[in-house]
Amino acid sequence: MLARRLPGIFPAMSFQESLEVTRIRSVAGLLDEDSGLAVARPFRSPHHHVSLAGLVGGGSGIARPGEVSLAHHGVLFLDEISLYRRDVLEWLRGPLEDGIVRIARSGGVISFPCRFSLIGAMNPCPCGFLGDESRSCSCNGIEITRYRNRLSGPLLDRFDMQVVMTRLTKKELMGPPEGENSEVVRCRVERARAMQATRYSSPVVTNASASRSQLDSRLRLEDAARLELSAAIDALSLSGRGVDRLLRVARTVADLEGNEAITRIDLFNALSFRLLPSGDQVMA
Amino acid sequence: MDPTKTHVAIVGTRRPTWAGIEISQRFACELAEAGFVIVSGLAMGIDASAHLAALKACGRTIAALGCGVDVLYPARNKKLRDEIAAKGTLLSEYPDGTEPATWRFPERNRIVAGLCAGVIVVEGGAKSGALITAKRAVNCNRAVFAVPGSIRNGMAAAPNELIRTSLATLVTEPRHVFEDLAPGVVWEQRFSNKQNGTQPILEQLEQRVLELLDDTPVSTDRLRRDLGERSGAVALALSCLEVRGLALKQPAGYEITGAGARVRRSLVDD
Amino acid sequence: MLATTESFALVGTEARIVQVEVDVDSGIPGFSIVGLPAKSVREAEQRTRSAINATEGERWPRERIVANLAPGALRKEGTHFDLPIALGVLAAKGRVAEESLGGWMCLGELALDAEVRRVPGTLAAAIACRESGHRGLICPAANAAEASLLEDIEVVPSRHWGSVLSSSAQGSNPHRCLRRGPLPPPRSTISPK
Repeated sequence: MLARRLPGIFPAMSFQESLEVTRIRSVAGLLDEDSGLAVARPFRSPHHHVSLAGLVGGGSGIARPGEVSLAHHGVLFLDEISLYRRDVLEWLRGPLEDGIVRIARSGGVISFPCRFSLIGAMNPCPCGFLGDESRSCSCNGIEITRYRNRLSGPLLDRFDMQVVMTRLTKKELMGPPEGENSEVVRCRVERARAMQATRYSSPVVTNASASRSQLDSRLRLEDAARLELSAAIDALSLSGRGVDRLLRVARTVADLEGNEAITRIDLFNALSFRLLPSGDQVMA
Repeated sequence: MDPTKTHVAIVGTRRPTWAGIEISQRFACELAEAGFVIVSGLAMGIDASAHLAALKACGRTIAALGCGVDVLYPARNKKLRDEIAAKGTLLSEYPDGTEPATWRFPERNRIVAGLCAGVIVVEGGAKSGALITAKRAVNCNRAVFAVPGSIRNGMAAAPNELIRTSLATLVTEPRHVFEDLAPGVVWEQRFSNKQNGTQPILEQLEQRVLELLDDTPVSTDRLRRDLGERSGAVALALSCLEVRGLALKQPAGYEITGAGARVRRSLVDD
Repeated sequence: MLATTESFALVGTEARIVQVEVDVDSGIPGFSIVGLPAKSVREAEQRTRSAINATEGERWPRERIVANLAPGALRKEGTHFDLPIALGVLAAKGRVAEESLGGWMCLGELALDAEVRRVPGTLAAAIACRESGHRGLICPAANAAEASLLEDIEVVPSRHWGSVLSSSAQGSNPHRCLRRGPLPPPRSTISPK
C-alpha cells in the first residue's frame, strides 16, 4: 500500500524518460492498442517465486526485459523480501549499482536499462509479532538471526533507509486517512530535486548519485550537526560507508525541509532511518 | 581469601536482551579485573559475552563444554573458542570427538557449578538451564547470586525466581559478589568501570522518552502513544539518545543501555 | 526477380535495421529462409502464403523462393518479419512497386486470413527508423499509437494486409498505389479499412 504510493511522489518523468519506459514495455509486448506514452512511473511487484530469468530478462525467443527493466525509472517492490530465492536477491546487487543488466546470449551480449528504486518489505521475525504489542513473538533468537540473515550483508548495504512499520490500530483502520496526499509530497520532492539540480549544476545528478567529491564539496553542515555527527560515529561505530549513506540521507532530508545547510534535526532524522545491524551483530 | 584463586561462573540464557549482555559483560569484566577466574559454558548469549568480556579485560576464563574439546559447538562461537583455547582453558569431561547432545548440557552445568565458588545468574527464562546450574550449585554448597530484572522481562524470570525462593543472593553490582566471595579483601574502586562524569544535556522530550525505555525493546509506536507526541518528534529524540549512547535500536524497538539507565537514575535523583 | 524490403531485429531494447531480400526464381517450387532466423521467423512461410492466397487477385508464386535476412550474422526472432517477407514476395513478382517501399520500414505479423497483428518492439523500431533517416514505418494498426510517439517519422497503420496493398482511398497515405495494375473489387470479408 505504502510502496504503491511511492511512484506517485516521485517527480514527473521527462519525455526522454517516458520514451525509455514505453520502449521497454513495447519490447516486452506489454503495450495495448491505445496506450500511448507512459506517463506514470512504473511499479513492479514480482511474486517471490520469480525466476532469475523473470527478474533479469532473457528467456527464449526475443530477449524479453525482466522485472528490473520494467521497473526502469520507477519502483521495484519485493514484498516479503526474505522469501525470494537467495541467488535472485544477490544478483540484484549488480544492477542496483550499474543501472543496467547485461545478458549473454548466443548472438552476443545484450543489455537493458534498469535504473529503479528497490523497496523490500519483511517481518521483523518469522512469526511476525516481534515488537508487536498485541501478541508476543514466539521465535527464538536463532530463528530470528537466521531469518534476518537471509538478506546478506552486502545486499543490506545497498539499502539507504529502513522504516519500521507497526500494525495499524483499529482507529487508524476505520478513521479517515491522516497525513498528506501524494500530490503535496510530490511538490516537496520536486522542490528538493530542484535544489539538488542547482547544487550539482546538473538536472540528473541527485544526492544519491552524486560522486563522493561532489557531495563533500557541497554538503554544508551546521556546526551543531557536525558535533552530533562525530558523536554518532563514535556511539554507533559507523563505517565509512555508513557515514556516507547517513550524509546523503541527511542532505536529502534537509532539501525536503528547504534547509540550505544540514541542521542537527535533519541529521537525527536521517539517523532514525538507519538500518539495523544484521542479525549476527544484534545477538553478539 | 585470595581472589586470584577464586572461580566464579556467569551463566544465563542463549537469547539475552541487550541489558543482559551489558550486565554479564560488566560483571565479567570487573570481576576478571579483580582477579577472579570467569567460568561459563561457551553457549551463545550470556555465556559468550561473559567469556568475551573476561578476555577483553585480560582476565582468565574457563569454558566448560558439553562435547569433546575438539568439537566445534556452537559453530558460531568459533572465534571466541579459539581465543579461549589460546588465552584461557577449554574443559570437558568427554573424550575427544564426543558430539554435543541435549542431555550433556545439564551435566556440563554440574561441572560449571563444581568448579566455582559462586554462580551468578544474569538472565534466563522460566525453564532456563541457568536454573539447573544454580540448583546444582546450591546442592554443592556454592554461593548463588542473581541479578534481578523487571517482572515484565521474560528473561528475568530465572534470577527473580531464584531470589524469590531464597536460593540466590540478590546482587546489582560486581562488588557485591566480590565482597561475598573474597571477604576481607578490599574492593578497589579501580575495578569498577569509571564512567565519565559528564552528564549529557537532554531536552525535555528526550528525558521523557528515556523514562519510558526499558530493558526489553519498546516500539516507537508505543512511545508515541504514551507520550502523545508526533512520531517524527519521538524518532528524533530516540536518534539523539542513540547518539549519546543511552538507547539502542533493536529489531523490535528501542532498549535502554547501561549508560542510559545511569543517566535516568541521576535524573530521578535531581 | 529480386526485391528488398526493410525491417528490424531486436537486440535488447534496440532495433537494428534488417534488409529482407526475397528472390523468386524458376526452379522447384519451395520456400527457404536464411540469415539466422529463429523458429518464429521460419514459420512466416505458412502465414504469408495463406495471407497472400487470401487476397483477391494474388497467388503465392509456385516458384523457388529464397528470403535472406541481412546482416546474416545477427540472430532474428519474432513474427514481425511476416509483412516485409510478404511484400518482398509480391515485389519480386512485380505485383508491388519496389521503389514505393524505399525508405520505409515494414513490420507486422500476418494472420492466415490476412489480418495484420500487433508485434512487440514497434517503438524501438520507430526510434531506429528516425535515427537511420528512414521516412516512416508501415506497422500494424494496433501498434500505431506507440509508433506515432515520435513526431518526425510517418506512420502507416494497417489493420489488414489488403489495406497495405490497396490503401489508396486515403490520399494521405504516402505509399498508395503500391500495387500495380487495376485493383480488384474488395472482398466482402475484408473490412474496407
